Amino acid sequence: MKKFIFAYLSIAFLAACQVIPEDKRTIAIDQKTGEATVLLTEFTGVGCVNCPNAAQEAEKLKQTLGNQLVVVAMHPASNPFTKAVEEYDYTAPAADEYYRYFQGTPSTPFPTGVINFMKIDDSYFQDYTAWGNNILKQLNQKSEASLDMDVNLQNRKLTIETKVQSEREYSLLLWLVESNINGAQMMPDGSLNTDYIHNHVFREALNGVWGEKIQANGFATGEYDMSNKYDLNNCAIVGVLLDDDKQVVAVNEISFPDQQTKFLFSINGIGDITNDTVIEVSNVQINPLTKRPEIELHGMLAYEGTLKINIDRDNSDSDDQFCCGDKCTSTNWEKHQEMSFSINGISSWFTHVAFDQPAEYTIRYTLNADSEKPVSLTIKYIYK
Amino acid sequence: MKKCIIVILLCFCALTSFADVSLNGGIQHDGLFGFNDQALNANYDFPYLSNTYLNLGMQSTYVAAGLRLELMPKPLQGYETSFAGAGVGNLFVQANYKWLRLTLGDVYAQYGSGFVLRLYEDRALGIDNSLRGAKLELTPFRGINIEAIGGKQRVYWNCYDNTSWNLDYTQGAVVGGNMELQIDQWSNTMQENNIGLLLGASYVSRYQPMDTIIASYSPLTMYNLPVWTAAADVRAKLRIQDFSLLVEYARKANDPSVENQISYNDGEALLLSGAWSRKGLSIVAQIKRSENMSFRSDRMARGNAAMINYLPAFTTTHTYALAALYPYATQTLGEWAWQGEVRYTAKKNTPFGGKYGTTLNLNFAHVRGLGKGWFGVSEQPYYTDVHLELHKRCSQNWWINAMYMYQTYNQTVVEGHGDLIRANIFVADVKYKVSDNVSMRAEAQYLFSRQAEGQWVFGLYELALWQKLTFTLSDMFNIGGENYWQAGATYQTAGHRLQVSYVRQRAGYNCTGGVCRYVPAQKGFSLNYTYNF
Repeated sequence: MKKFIFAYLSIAFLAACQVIPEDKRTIAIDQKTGEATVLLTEFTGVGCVNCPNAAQEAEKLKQTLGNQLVVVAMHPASNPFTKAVEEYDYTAPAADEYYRYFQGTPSTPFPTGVINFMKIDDSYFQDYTAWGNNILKQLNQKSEASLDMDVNLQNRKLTIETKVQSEREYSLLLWLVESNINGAQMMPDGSLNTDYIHNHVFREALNGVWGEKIQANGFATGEYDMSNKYDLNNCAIVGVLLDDDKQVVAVNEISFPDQQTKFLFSINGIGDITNDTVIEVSNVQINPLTKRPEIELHGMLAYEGTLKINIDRDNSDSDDQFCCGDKCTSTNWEKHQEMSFSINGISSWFTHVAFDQPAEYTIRYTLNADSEKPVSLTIKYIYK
Repeated sequence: MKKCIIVILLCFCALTSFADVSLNGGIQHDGLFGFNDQALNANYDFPYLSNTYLNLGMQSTYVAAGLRLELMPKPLQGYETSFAGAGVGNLFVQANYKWLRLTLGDVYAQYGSGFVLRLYEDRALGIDNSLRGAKLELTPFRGINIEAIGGKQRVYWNCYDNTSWNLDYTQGAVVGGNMELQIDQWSNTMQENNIGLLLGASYVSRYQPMDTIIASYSPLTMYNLPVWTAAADVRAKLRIQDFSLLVEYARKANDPSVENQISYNDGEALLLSGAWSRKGLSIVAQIKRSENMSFRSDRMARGNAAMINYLPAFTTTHTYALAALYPYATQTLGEWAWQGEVRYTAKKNTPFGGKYGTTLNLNFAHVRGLGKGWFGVSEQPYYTDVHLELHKRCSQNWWINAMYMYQTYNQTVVEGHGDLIRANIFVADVKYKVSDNVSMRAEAQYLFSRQAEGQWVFGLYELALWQKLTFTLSDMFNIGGENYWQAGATYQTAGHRLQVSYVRQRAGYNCTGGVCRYVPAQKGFSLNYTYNF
């Protein structure tokens, strides 16, 4: 009896190990995708050392699947991995609401992701190694609906028009996401990378966390004011259709850049300068050291490329300095001066003028951007 | 389901009518009436959260049986989502006859240090990784122990679609075997000279069907995953009078998983432990190297789910609040760990020992990552703990425990974010026995650090009356930050223990032996009840 038991146990264990040779570790698979679209909601945080690996996986999927896959990265404040590092904080209140809905807790390990707002194996959260397979499975599903969006941006006021092809009523969610954000991220080797580029970062749920109802084959229009916090050159709108079980039926994404003003010139306290603007200055402060009246104007520029600035003065008895970013130029007392600055995205500018003699002063700054209409700012001051 | 539970309970009651049958059991209930607190980030979707366990056991000469009912539809926070559920968490029947013992049902086991198999229950961590199957234990001859085990591993409730009696199991199975030879049992010479030698060997294999994990998208390929993964362990424990030495080595074949980022590398662990003790003095020194030794019954599992084995932390599990503020969790991808301890007890009526004796304990633990080559050590420290403890009874009524601890804690490695924290911790714990029925205890602790949350102060006062009733008041204060305080009362008598307290507690980690659970911040009234019979 004893010998039988020993023999049986020995034989049972002999076959229970499998070693995969190095040249046999992958298997080709033939996966045809349908026409469905998939939303990958990635939960990530600046303090999460493995999250760059997940972001890389999402990027590979995006490159492979193109417009059929929309990736959105959410940073929920209730998970400690999203705690701000230095000044870099990408959390959003709505991201936390979605996170709690998916039963996320402070102890949920990151990185993780939710595919089409669905539970797989009784959990919303999927490890990033499982994203590929689960997304491909979803792409094979029959598509119940689709949506198209058109966006228009004027002076930071966004208009979104959405048209849905469907046989039923759904909920429409409109999200603002921002990419190409240069910030901080903990890396897999434990170091802090302060030049990390964050993409597809969820910023706002424009029409509410759970959106608005849209009729079958319906149409929706909304207008939204865009915060100055976001670089609209790098923003996109994600439209999501949810069924009554809050599962994603269709998703689409549209970027801003074609709709957005390429050249934006604004003055603090006044706003955007889109046409020739004249400012008549009065009540100018006297500098106690120089005993001269002096003025300063500050503003922002949004442009990619070389910006030429011409300064024309009717009266040369003024000395002024024009700065763009960290580059400044002083005048040479000529009535006409030309300068150029290289602008890469958003840049601050300011001009400082000191007046020597009582007189009437007119100083015109003309900004020339390629393929854009020149815009001028004229300062008029009567020094009595 | 409910009918089955009733039948089982009736069977238990019937069996107790036999003369040689004894019944044992216990109940444990941990609950919290939570209050939302935005400053603390404490949020509750349900007013009362609780975990309840009811154990019943029956023991007789040849047969034993047991069951555990679990009720946690809205469990305490900090556990995995699938932890919520209710039903029979454990059920077994055991028969033993002469040299054979067979257990059917939910079984637990540990082979050696646990490098290849450790099946256990730890309620504080939310761990119950039992196998539902069978365990066969044989002691055919003196000094020989053989064990075989097999089954499907439990993973909380409704984690997958493989539910049975509300429990859920991984898709595959775990089988294992262990043999230990107590050589000294066969040698009178060894026994006469107080020499012991134990040789052990274990083998565990996991079966899991293939998962589809994409390896590349262009061309589209998936990983060819091993459906059978095995691990083996050999060990030798030598004892010569006051000295003992343990050498243990374990190896695991390719086990690509989400935890090791689909690595096909083998895993291994080596442990060397030496101890010497004589009355009044003991010395322990240990070293461990482990690499890629996490072993789960589900290659897609994370956190504390589906663990087959156990990797000891080689660090002290502290009970003092500030010493336990930054607890270490074993890094399964790989680490070097060293630990040493010297414990000296000065005799009574000596200058250092005083009238009642004094114990001094010096402990050192250090953990680092792996470097290049097998012997390579990373420059990056993971954890250091050097502490000196003094235990002294000063008089008939006064006791004192004092401790100084220096700690470094790599928060990025352990928690995935944060600083390299360096802390100096001072603890004084004084107990005064007023009379046979009244005693008091007070603790004062201070933690100094320039990283993370900076300095902390902790105070506790405890009053115990009639050996049944205890009142406790404590406060943990982060200088320049939040205040976390607790007040409660505990009553215990005849096997019953009831504790009611008001808590305002920071978020943190609850760790035992290197396995940790994140506990979110808490605020509210907690209720804890246990009864054992």
